[in-house]
Amino acid sequence: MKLFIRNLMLFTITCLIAFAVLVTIEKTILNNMGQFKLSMGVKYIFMGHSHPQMDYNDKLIDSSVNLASSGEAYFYTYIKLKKILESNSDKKIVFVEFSNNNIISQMNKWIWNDIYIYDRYRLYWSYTPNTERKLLYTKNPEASILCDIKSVVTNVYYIFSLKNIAKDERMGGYLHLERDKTDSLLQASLIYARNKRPDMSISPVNLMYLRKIIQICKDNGTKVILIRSPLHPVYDEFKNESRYEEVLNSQFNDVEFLDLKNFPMINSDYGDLEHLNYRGAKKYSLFFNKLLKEGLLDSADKQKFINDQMALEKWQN
Amino acid sequence: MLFNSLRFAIFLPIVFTVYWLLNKNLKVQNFLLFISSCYFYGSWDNRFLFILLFSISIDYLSGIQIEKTVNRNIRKFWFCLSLTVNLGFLGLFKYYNFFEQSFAEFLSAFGFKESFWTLKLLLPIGISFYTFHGLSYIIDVYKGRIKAERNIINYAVFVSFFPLLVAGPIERATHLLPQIRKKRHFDYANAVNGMRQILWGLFKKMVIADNSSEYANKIFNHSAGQSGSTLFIGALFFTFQIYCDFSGYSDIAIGTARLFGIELYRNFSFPYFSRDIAEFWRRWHISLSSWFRDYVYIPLGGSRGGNWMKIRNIFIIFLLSGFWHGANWTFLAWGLLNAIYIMPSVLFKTNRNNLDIVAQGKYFPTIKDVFDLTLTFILTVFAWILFRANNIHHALSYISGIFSSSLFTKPEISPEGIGLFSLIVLFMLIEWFGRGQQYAIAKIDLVFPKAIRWLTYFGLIIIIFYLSGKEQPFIYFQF
Repeated sequence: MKLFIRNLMLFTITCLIAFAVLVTIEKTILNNMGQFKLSMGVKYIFMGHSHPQMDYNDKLIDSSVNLASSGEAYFYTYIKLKKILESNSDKKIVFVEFSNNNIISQMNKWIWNDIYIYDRYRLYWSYTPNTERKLLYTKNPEASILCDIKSVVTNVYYIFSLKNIAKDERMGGYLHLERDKTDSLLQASLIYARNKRPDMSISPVNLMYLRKIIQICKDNGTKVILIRSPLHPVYDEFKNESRYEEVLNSQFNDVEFLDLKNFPMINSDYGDLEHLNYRGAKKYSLFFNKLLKEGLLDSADKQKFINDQMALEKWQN
Repeated sequence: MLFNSLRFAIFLPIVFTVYWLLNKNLKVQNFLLFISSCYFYGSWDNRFLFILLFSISIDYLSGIQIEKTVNRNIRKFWFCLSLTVNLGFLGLFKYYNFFEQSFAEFLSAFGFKESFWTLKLLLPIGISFYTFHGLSYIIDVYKGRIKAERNIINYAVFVSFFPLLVAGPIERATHLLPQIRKKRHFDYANAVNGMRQILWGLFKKMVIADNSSEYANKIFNHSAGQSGSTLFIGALFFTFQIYCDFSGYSDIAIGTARLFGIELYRNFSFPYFSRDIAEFWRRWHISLSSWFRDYVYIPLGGSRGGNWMKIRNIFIIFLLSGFWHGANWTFLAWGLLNAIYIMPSVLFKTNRNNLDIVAQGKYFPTIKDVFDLTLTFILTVFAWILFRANNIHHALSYISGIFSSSLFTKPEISPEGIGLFSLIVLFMLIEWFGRGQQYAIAKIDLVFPKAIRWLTYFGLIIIIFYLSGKEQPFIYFQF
């Protein structure tokens, strides 16, 4: 029995040491790969989930980079942005999407459900601070531990195969959406909407991470602006608008907020009720670029500036 | 609590350590096994625990009453009581919904619209397995093959021992009870063997079975319009999924029991290296096949009567075996197909031709062996389609889809699917070279030095974590 336990311990320790060596190699190399270094001249960064990812075509917006990623909760945006700010000394302006679905309790799943842990935590494993790691271990220990090992092995494999597949996934970026199924969805959503109760719940954890995003930007001297990108007028999550405004006004009244949800679009500009397809993204990105060029960020009343420009855009079309 | 879960990874070392610390007192040790088993089983649903405990109590009492009573009628009463309770629970929880639905469909076919008292009963996990433990015990006591167990904890451990509780192997009182009664001694080699078998079982389950299930599900769930070659690949993936899922579970169960100094029945013996269907059934789910052989086939007359009797008995046990798997016509059809498969070898008395291991002592099989192995394997693959399909119609359309001109086109399979297929080929090679052992890597300590062995284990652990697919419950939990 003693021999069995001794050998078992010895084997476990050997495995742990081997694993620790892999982790050290992996962390050292990845941290020196400059994965989060942005191109020179980038001034504006767009961050958030799928809405900004599909809405901002950064090729059409001067000095900008879209780093948003589908299914990304503020928790993961925080980890990513922290590394970006550490890796880029020049000051930037960060636009963080703040949409109606960013506040709902569903966001908890986006942080610690199995599938999100495997998809997201794996990407940021080497960069995740201990506090955030602890949160995942508390909420979903099994998936977190499994993901720890998967991440290290994946990263080591990428390093030694000289592949950097994970970089694009890690950083996010504009997604060219072809589809146009808004009309059919609209038909369905009218039936669906009658039966669905509004989701008035909120995710305090996700909102806490938005606060942390704001704080690291402030600490770094980076300007952060919350933004709500265009949404179709019958977008389902609008039902929590009162709750949304309450959260915005009570918890984030110290941060500038730009509301572009009413940007004039036709159905065929949407991929669905919450994402723009490439046509809509082109139209909207050109408009946003114009806003920036015409001095949106220097304007005293930014929302009025936007509303006037949107009214003009509507009139012109 | 799944074997491939973190909870089990915490549970097992705790029970193992406490168990061997209590080595001086067998009664306390057995009590610990019983309590641990209750906790293990209750972790799914506490309500199911009461059914298990009730079943244990009835069988325990019946066993003693049967043994101590001389009056034949009273003995018969206790025997029937135990059978009724065991089969009653099984019938109620497992088959009620099926019969009710089938009867309603039958009536509706004649234009009757009957509404029945619908019970949406949840199937208590492992009920088919522990019911068969109880049945074998009570039949053996009734037939005078064994003495009734007087210690209720011993009996409860026999039925509920956590490694085998939910998906077997199906044990016999004659094999397991003496081990429970006897003081166990820690054996280093046995424990290491157990750990190794657990590791191999986890690899089979988490890497091969769970990954194969993703492809098998994808193809089976969207089989309409798929090419014949893709459908065949889907059936192949399921063939490996079910084998690695169930034999992986059995490996973990047997390995875990070894850690406690208990030897369980072997449940699989490389069934895909069988040269005929009779050999396949001697190698697949051995504990169930032998149960049906001993408690159904032989009492029915076995192969002692004429051909008609043999045919009848073969059909009975295969249909029962299919029905044991679940209340679905697909399982019955699967049983029926296997009965048809095995019939020629029974009638021509060739069913005991292949009792040895294929190409024993050789690296490669002969051409005849290759032909026999391939034919048996393909027959098995087609039988698994019936087992996996959602209903008979689905199975038939799936099989007819395979036999189309598109069978010879390039299958639609992703590069990851091809990678998995290569891994399965590698896995089968390892199984081939280890086919003479209890499990493929059982004798690794005789072949490799310690450093290589440890490196192999470390590699397996890394592969398990890295390649493990989406966590899937064990298929046989539903039976």
